[in-house]
Amino acid sequence: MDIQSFMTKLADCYQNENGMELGRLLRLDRPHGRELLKEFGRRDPSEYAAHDLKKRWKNEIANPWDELGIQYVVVCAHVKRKRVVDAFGEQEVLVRKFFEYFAQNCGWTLPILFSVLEGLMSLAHDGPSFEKVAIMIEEALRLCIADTKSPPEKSRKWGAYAVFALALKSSLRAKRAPLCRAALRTLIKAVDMPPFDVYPRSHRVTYWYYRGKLHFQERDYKQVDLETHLGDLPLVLRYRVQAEESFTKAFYHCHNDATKNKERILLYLIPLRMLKGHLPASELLLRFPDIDEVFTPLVWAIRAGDLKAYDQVLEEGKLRFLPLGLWLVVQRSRDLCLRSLFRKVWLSCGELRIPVTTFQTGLRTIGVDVDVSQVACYVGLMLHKGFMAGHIIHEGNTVTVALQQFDPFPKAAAARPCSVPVTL
Amino acid sequence: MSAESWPPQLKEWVAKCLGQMTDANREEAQAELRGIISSAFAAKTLWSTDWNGLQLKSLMPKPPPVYNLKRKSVEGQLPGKKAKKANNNKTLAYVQDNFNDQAALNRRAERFQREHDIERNKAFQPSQKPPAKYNYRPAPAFDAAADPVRVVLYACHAVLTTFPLPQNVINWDRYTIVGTCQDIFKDYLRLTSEPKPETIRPYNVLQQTLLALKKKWKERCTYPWMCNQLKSLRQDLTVQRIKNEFTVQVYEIHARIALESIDMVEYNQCQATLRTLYDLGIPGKVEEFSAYRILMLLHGRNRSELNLYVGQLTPQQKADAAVKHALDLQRAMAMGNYHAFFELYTTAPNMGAYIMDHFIDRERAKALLVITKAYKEVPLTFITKELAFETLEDARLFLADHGADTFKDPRHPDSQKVLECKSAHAKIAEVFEEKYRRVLIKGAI
Repeated sequence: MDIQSFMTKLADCYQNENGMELGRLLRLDRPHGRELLKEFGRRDPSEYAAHDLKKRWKNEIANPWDELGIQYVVVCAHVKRKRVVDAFGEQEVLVRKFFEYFAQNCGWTLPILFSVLEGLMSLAHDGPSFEKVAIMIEEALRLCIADTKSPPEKSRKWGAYAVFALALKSSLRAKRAPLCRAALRTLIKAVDMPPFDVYPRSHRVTYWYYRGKLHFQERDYKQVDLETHLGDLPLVLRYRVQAEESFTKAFYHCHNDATKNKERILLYLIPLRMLKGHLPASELLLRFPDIDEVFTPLVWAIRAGDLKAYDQVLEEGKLRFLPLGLWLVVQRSRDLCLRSLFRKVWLSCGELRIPVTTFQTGLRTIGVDVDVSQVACYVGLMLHKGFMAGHIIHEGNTVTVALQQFDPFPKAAAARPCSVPVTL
Repeated sequence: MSAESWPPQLKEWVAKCLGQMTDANREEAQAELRGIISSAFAAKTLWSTDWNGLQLKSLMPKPPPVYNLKRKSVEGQLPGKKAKKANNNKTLAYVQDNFNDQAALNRRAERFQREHDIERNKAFQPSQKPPAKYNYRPAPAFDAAADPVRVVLYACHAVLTTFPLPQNVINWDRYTIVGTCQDIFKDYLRLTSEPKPETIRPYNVLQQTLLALKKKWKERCTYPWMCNQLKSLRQDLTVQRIKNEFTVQVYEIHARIALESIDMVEYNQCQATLRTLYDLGIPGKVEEFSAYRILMLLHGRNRSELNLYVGQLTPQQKADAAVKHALDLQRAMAMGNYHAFFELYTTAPNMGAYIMDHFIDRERAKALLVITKAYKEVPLTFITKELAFETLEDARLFLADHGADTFKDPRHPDSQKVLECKSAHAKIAEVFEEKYRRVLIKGAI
């Protein structure tokens, strides 16, 4: 495609209000972007942008498409020469120009909005640029919501959730909590919006996914927090439950063919459910090979009660989990491992009164050598968290664990007080 | 006085070097230039060196470098490469670029220089001046005690910017002072104007000062006085732009003393400065302070920062005993393993225990919650030992503080007291909510 045909296409699509095609034309990851530059040979088009392109093309087709077209070529030129900073700057200009147009038009322009915003996001490369992107997307969100003139079927409001998801994505990337919350407030304050359920499924799934991520990270942004092993005090519990709900909805509504997306959701969902004591089933893991790779060793170690293996897997999986902020969560599933081990000890004993030294031996068999008081501490923790039921008794010099008769090892999931059924 | 202290040959040579720099080798050359000049200054060979004869290694011709950059964000890939965005599953992506384009190289170098500056400035506290831009020159009134390094950077940037104008070299002179004061002890006064050389102590005097201060601390002087002296010592170092192992030593000592005296504000300041000094490559007790940082993050329960910090520890850091201790502590806390926690408390290396003291009571209460649930009754001796109390009395007082001193027979002596767990548990659970809900950290990073 050369620039002539590109511009002509822009004009055509614009006249026919063909948003999809226009969106496609303005995407940065399409081959036609590079093709356009062939016209310039070895010269750098960005140097000509200020003069030649504008001279030639300005007012050739309706405003703002002439300028948008020119900007697009300039951005492509920078991209080709790998000048990320300049490309970002020019894309910003493009997006701003588009906003002006967008504000005056109705929903058919939404695909174009998505394209240019995605282009902007892909060009952001460092802290400040991530922030800029987040702020701009929030502006886009406001433009979407503030549509009072268009007829309801064609309203810009239909883009709200998709743009909101992008806003969350970019603010999470920028690691700026206030931006996330600003976007949320904008959405919540919106009036006269179509009901959530009638939005396209892909928008809803994306929305749930990023909402889940936000919930998940909210617990850090609030300083009011306590370690959760203490029986899940209300505040932290709330975030976790909300995060889990969000991710669950995202997962179940996600299109069956979107495997990669499902995997991304599972990466968060599985550890969250493990915290509750639910281990992922092998059938689930088999369906998603990438997830399988990550979680099967963990699950296996937990089921076998092999603490040493668990710690090793944790160490190896560090690189994977740390960037997602999941490592600390996965660390906490260690109790499940310990519980399995102790349960095995109990099963092999067959009695209800077990000296702590027996548990110590159990630990030794998997290669963990600790002193008796440490083992007593472990048992205490199990009792406290409800994984075991009974008491520890000091009798002179010996320490015995007296398990209760009925259900001394309750099911892990039942033991967690936060077993809230999730509504789909 | 300052203008005369720089030999004209030096100024000419610097100007020449600047002219030879290109975007590609600028960073290296600047660093080298800084290094050479500051060591000459310290060794007092400024006038005796033959500057014309010197050749900067980084200015010698060499093949274009291939940048192999680790990016924190996976989304650094350009769309033309058809990369899937935000592949959170993958490990940190390496952006490998084939640089045929020198201009792209330059811009990239520039960009990372900016990023580097931004990163550096992030470590500074909000009370300080706005972050340094490339050609930003500070007003003469500056808080010298706050950050010696930034002053150095300003000065260096002033000299070593893209435009090798003579006035930049002169500006550098403006901020360099060699003191003449010979007092060992000097009070700290916040600078409100350009410092006068008679009030600044030269390097050799400062070294004596440090020795004298160390002695005084051993002989027990008050913390406020000591803090005062150390701050003025830091100020003199800053003003004379001395940043070397000695500076690091001073900050490390002040940090440790602040920890001991529970002055968290001062401690955090020192910690921040030390980080920047270490980043410049000045040797010091890096691992010791990494461990402290981890402990502080545990104290603040700053999970995301902790996540990040642990993720970027070098193998060398991880191998160090102090860092290992801190990481073991983190693991114990994550699991709620109070037994391990208190063992680690008693074996805390360096001054780690002082930081742990800030959250030890919270951990003790948590541990008690577990113990009183698991046991029906438990002797006071056991509690004292498990929770690392110094005496039985301390343990009993702690319990009383939480309304949980319900003993089977309160008339027995401490060594024979046995705690009734059920009622104790209920009480502690109540008190816990009020006492330990919030964490306030003053002046934290």
